[in-house]
Amino acid sequence: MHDDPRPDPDADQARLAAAGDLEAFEALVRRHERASVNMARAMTGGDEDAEDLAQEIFVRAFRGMARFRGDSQFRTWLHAIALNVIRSHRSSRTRRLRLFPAPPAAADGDAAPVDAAVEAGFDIRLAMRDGVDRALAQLPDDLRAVVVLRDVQGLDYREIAEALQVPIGTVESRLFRARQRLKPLLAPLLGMRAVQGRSIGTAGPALQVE
Amino acid sequence: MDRCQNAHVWMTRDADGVLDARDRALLDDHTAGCESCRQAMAAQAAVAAVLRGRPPIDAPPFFTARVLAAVAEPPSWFGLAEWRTWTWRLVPVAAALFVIAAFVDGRTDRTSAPATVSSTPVRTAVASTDTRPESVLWDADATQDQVLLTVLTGRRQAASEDSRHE
Repeated sequence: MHDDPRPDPDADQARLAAAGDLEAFEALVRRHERASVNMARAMTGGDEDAEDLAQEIFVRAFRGMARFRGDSQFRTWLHAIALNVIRSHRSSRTRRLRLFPAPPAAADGDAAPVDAAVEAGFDIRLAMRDGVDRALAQLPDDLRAVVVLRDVQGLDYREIAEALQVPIGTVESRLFRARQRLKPLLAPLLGMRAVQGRSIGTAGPALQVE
Repeated sequence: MDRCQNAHVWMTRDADGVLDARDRALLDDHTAGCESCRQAMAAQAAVAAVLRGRPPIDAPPFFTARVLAAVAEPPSWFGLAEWRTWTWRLVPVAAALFVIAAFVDGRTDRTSAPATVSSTPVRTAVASTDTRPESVLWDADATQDQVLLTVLTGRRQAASEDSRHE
């Protein structure tokens, strides 16, 4: 859909992996494993199955390597697979929950998960990550996907459009709406950033700017 | 409202550091007179900053080794988690088998066969030693129901069972 003219740092390894070179595929896994795990966690609200999902993403990628033609960056293609895997997991989970509904949430809920975590003495980084992932979980799927791909995974608009198979204008529109809906959900974290200044929020992935 | 919609696009790009100088001037000009867009612009930047500051998690130990072990395993033919996918993929196969069975049944001398009132072919009892689920695909005696049940359950239905009764 959007042929990417930029050089792909994974091009050589992907070509070898597509030809069945397991060492090349292993190199790709090591390079992208962290992104895959974080994608699965951020898209599932910290689901306990996130690590299994991350593994399944690579299994699907391996089995489909012959179909990777290099029209897009390898990581864009990998993210498209990730979205499909996660979507399938959610559909399956929804069917299971219809048959076996989860017990009702605790009365105090997640109104201020970060504050509660801090009071309990938990690691602040863990609390922030959980707070972000839970806020993301409250977005509709289409909005969550674009904002995770952009702000958590660091893909640019072209890559996001390619992964989602939508126009760049749609990416921009969904990004705007997603961030607007997240503002009240992330209120506790916004307050913490204001207090702690630059001590939080420096560990995010580097952005690729077009 | 159209101007605000344009501004929404500009402020999104601004939060991502990809707003060009011309659009920045237009955005500044608009937000100077639009309080709601000023607030929206601040929200875009603040939320993006929090999300980008989300502490990433490392892949668990031996993650790559587990992936390589998983890809070394042959794919499961009738994984229950993918049963819908396989059901749809096997529909044309099942349809082709049904047509073949109906064709063969139509050409078979049925004078000694028991009378039936249904268009479903009568199966003769077949003792099969192949219990693999995928063997149902090349078993000419398998009915459409057998194929579907095998797909849904992941187990080959007993080939010796005769589902047709007088």
